[in-house]
Amino acid sequence: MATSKVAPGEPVIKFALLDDVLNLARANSLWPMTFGLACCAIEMMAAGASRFDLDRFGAGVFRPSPRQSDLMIVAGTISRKMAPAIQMLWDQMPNPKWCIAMGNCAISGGPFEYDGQYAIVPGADLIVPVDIYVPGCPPRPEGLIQGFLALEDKITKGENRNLLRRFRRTGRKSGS
Amino acid sequence: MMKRDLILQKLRKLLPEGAVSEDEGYESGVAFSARVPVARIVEIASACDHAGAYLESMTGLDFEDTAEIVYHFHTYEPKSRFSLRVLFPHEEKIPTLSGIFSSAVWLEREVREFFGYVFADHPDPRNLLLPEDADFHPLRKTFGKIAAYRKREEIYA
Repeated sequence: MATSKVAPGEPVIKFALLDDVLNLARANSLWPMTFGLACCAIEMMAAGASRFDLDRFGAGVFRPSPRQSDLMIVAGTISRKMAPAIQMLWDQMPNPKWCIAMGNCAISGGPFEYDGQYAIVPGADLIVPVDIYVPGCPPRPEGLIQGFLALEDKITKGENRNLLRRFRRTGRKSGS
Repeated sequence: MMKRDLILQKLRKLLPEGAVSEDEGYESGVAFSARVPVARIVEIASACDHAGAYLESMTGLDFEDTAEIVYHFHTYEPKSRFSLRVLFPHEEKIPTLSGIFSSAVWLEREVREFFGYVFADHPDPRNLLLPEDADFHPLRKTFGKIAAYRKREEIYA
């Protein structure tokens, strides 16, 4: 008997149209985890506060528990002793889940990565799968918001398919 | 007599001629420092304890030919800091001061994990700051990029 492999976390039976609708809902109600590691977390908090207002994108509901979140923002420097805790938080999040590496430290170790360093994990992608990288030291809240929009596009598989999207990108043709 | 002078007098009596060097101008950061043979460090530290000084910090140094540990002591009368310096080969076990100063337990754990200098009969030999499974000694000069691995005389000329 032929057996097909199902990746862990993937549903066994898929319905294409229903998946599209679900993805639309997921993309526009991302629930990030309340979780900051360093100074990038301050910009993340600013992005969630009234001036930049992540709630415009349905992503302002920062959950205090990984069990209720579907987005992890790795905001800050990952020290070696913190890495197991991050991995555990990631494992505790229910599928489907996504990860944004925010800032240069979470992307590649930033200024703390050099020959002979012993305290830093140089890159969140070494311990968890990362979907979106937001560069900056730290990135402005606008940068993080752009990361959110990019993640929404990734979830809905294209900007044009995100029918609930509140803003269109300017300066280039939509859907390119 | 001020406690500092008492300690200085005691060290002069216990240690051989030339082991104690004074530094009135605090140019090296301490009022006086004493070079102590590794076998007598417990005895000398105990004498400092009885004279009213306490162990403030410990640090290690790594040279090509020798290892060194500097014990910084402090006393309040008058406020002054002095150091005991111990030279020993890298592999030698150093007697622990945790029987005299309880704070030495953490200080020695830190020196052990960062330099790999082993303390004999230490009550708690776990890592203090590094991850539990760390098997490297980051402050040894042979760790990572080797830039300045010198003999002790070349630095303290």
